[in-house]
Amino acid sequence: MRKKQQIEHTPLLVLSLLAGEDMYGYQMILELARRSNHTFDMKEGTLYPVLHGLEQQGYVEAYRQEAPTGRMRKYYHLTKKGGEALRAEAESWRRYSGAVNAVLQSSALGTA
Amino acid sequence: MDRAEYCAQVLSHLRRLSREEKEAVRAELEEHMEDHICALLELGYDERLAEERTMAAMGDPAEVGREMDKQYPRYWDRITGVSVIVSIVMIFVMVLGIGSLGFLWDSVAFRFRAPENRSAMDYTAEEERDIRVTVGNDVLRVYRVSVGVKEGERVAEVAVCTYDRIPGGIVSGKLLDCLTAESQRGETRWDGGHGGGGGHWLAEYTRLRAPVRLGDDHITLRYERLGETVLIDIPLPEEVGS
Repeated sequence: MRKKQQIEHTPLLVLSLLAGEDMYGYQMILELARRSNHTFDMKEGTLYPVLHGLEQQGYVEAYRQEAPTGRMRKYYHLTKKGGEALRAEAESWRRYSGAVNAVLQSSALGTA
Repeated sequence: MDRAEYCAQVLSHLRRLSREEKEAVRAELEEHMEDHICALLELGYDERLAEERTMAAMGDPAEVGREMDKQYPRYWDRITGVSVIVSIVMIFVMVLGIGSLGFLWDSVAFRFRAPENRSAMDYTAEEERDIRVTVGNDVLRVYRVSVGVKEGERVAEVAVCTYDRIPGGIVSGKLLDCLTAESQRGETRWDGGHGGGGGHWLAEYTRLRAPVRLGDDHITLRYERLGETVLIDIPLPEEVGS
């Protein structure tokens, strides 16, 4: 169940990361782990299908640029369409998580 | 498993990607692994252990490859998409192209011959004419003048066509609209004398009629628009027995 949730919400997390700045893959992995306090320690290779899927959908676009390490890297940039998708998905997630929290808090498990 | 093997296994599952797309995926994965290995080396790992840890962190290459492949449209979907677009473009080109060729032909042909364009009136005399007057960028050509009886009224009828001075150029639709026929006494028919016609944006034709009396020797075509006036006297054909 945890794995399924992670796969479904990885695009949302990636879009959220890119809302702040353009990033390359490895940078996203580090940033995701840092911001989630290592809750989202995903298998790093699985990030790329997500990125390429977002690119195919027009939510992100890629370009090559020299990274601070001095190496050329493929950076991803959030498009306007991606920004709109992020807002919609984030709102949807807030509603969903709010509903889950409401149920948990009202149940015996939540009040135990 | 080393970096090259990992990438090769990922790429072996990419059936929908072009060669260039596969190479881009390989480069991106190798760059990622290079970053990870360098980070571990900076932490004091030896090179072999750093690569092992990196491969483990990357995950199952088969899963990555399969998921990556799903992100791209199937080859046949791409072909179908391209085919649909090409077909639509070709249909447009054919429709517009064939139509345009016909229009272009009229634009050229009206300089030498023009449509028959006759009405149901009783003609008593008729002569070919070739009077050409330049109006703006267009040419007004009078190619036939007739005399006869229309709805009990004696009239002269002039067949005219218009085209741009440059073959294939667009002709002004206002040219024929602003054209009227009048007798040598300035009389016009109630409808301005306009008969049937046709055409398109490269060439147009119509008939104009003016009331005439026995003994009249010409009628006049009058074009008036935006302060410009053009008058063209059209000699009438000689009627048999007149």
